[in-house]
Amino acid sequence: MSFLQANGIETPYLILPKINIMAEPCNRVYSSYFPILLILALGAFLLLFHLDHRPFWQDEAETACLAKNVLKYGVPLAYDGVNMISQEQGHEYDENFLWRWSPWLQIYVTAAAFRLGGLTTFAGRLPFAILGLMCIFLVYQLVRHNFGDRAWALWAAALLTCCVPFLLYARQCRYYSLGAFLTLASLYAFREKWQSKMFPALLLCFSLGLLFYANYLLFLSFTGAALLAAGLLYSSEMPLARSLKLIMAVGIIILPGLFLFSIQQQAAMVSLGAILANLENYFGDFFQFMFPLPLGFFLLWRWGRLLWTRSGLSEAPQEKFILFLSLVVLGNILILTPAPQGEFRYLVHLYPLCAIVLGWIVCRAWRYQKFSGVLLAMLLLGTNWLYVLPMDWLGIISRPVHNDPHMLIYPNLPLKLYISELSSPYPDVNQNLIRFFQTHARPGETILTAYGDLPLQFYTPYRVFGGLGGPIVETQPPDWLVPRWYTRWNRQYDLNESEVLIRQLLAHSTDYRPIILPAEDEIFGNQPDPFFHRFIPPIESIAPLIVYEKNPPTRQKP
Amino acid sequence: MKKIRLPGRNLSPSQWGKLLLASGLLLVFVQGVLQLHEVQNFFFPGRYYALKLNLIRKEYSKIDGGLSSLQAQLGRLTRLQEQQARHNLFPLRLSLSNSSSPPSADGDRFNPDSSWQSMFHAAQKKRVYVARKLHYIDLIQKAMHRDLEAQLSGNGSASPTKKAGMEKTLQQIRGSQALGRTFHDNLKNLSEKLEKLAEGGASPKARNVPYNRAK
Repeated sequence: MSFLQANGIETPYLILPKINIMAEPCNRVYSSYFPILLILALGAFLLLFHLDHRPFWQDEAETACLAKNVLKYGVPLAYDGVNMISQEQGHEYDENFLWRWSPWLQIYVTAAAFRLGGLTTFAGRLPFAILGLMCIFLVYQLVRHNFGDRAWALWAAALLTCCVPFLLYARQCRYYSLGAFLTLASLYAFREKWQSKMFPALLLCFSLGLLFYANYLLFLSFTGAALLAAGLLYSSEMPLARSLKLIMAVGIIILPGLFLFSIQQQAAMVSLGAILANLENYFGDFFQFMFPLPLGFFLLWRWGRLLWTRSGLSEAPQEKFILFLSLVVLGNILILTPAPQGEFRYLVHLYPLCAIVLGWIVCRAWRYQKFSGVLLAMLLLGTNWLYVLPMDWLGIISRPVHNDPHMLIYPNLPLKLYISELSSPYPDVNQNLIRFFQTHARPGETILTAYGDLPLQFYTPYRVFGGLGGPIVETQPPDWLVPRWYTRWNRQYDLNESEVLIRQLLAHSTDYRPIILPAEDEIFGNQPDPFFHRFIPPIESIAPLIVYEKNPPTRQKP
Repeated sequence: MKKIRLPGRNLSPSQWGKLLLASGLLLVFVQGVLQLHEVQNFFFPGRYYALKLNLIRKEYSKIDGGLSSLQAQLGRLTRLQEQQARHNLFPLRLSLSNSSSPPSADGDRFNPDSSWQSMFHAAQKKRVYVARKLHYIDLIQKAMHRDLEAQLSGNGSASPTKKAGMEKTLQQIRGSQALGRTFHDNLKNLSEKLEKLAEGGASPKARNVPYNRAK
């Protein structure tokens, strides 16, 4: 159904939203594609500029170290003969050190990038940044192709391009943009004629199947929510036989992964008791960083009123799709709540969906009243005020005590902060430690660190252990100790072994001398979570970075 | 004299809607501009510390709640332990060995030992939550104290009003630090009790550092 038909406008000519490029004059095509090309150019700049401005932080370094081992051994091994990769007390690998904790797709994508571009930060992040850029185009294409509303498509793409948390996540050497891209690809295929055509059906199968291999938590939450929402709203467009075949095909794709990754072990960690806390966290973060609360109320009011007056929901395909996306987002969050860790990163693949909904609201506001439309667009594109302030007024803002006014938890101009970070990056905690050990440690030396072991493993040639890994078996005291001010506990809420060992070594020995670095001991480094991300150094330095060196007489010759 | 006529009566519901929408968005816009750190700093230079202290006060109320809840959890754990001892059942104590797999957060609810474990786990979680917050606040207050003192000593030409404001903030920080110390002591006390419970009533074992006050 065309856009005009959908709105009840009869026309003797069939006007389809799909544009025939060849039939159009060149200048028209140019003017038609110019705005999206401009948005994509901006997106490319924001995603690719100074992509390696900071080194990998712990989570990225996990992917990068495993990818490095893939290049060496062909499979992701947690041990390379020198260092062990672990952030879960050694539960992530089997007896042969084969990685069985998280799916492998992101690891192989990174390994391919390393093969082509060398073992660099830029190469590791590049494929994911490109996928982020493809998400922007896919958002545009999904709306334009299906609904023919160019303004909506452009607004959705522009909102995603200027969404700083999305940009931060897409610049990570991690599955985030991959998950968002596959989510969008599956939605794109779903809006095509998968019921009768082979290509959309295959695209749907593979995008969902690959989503599992990007991160199975995303797969479970998104697929579950999408199936329910589709059954509710598009049941007439879902022939049973074809749908079952599709589900079976996806099942076959994910089957090896079900056995390969320790899903059962992790499923045992599902906590019903955590549901309420996770719900609070997810919805708090969702409204603070993803979708402004007042606009959520607007949608609730709009659809609630329609249900209340029994006039029924609008049959316009645009609004039906917006309702579908909203249900998918809501369902996704609800399905995620029993998972052991209520982390915002599990919602990142929903950013493009939210951008589509926000773009639709901006268009509606513009059509309702131009002044409000412009103001709303300005607020959404350039500020986080519509996200943060209403929550602040209601007293439900989540602002940690270690906050800083230059973080996204405060009313800010996110793009300004983001560009300041890219244009004049400050050396973060990982950068400072890497530089220090590259210049001070000697070949064959060992480093015990309470956290941040994986970036050091990736960037330096030394034996680095500790971190969040499991029990430490070392016969010799390490040459270097790196305690961190932010204490880390394991899942049993006991201090991590590395933390305990460092405290013991420092308490009972005078063999180590402290070296205070002129840098801040940040909690994470290049952590993309908007709740923690620092664009510029904090106003007040709360703890300096301290490294302990073994005294020369007791130090072994390497 | 010409009467001023308010537009309200003549507005249709749609126009009211437009007016409300525009004014709501304008309100957010104006508030956003006013709350930018640079703008705040320009108009109200000392406001930053006041806001930070206000946030610390809010965190302290959460810590207070956390400590009360930890105390209640400890009471429940003690009662459960005593009950089991009276009925001569197997002693309830926490397995201190490192299990080969991550713990199930809920455990087997039909097993009394497992229910003890999950209750203990919840208490540990609460303890870590409080310890983490206290540690943060401790360091933040130290940094604020240090910065303010440096400003005071290095700012000889500052106006007396400004100096008095800084002194007042310093006093507030000292008061807040004193309150923090009582929370620290309380937490230390509860942590020791928790450790004793883990040992089945015996003295705390030095398997782990249960609580280390920030130095």
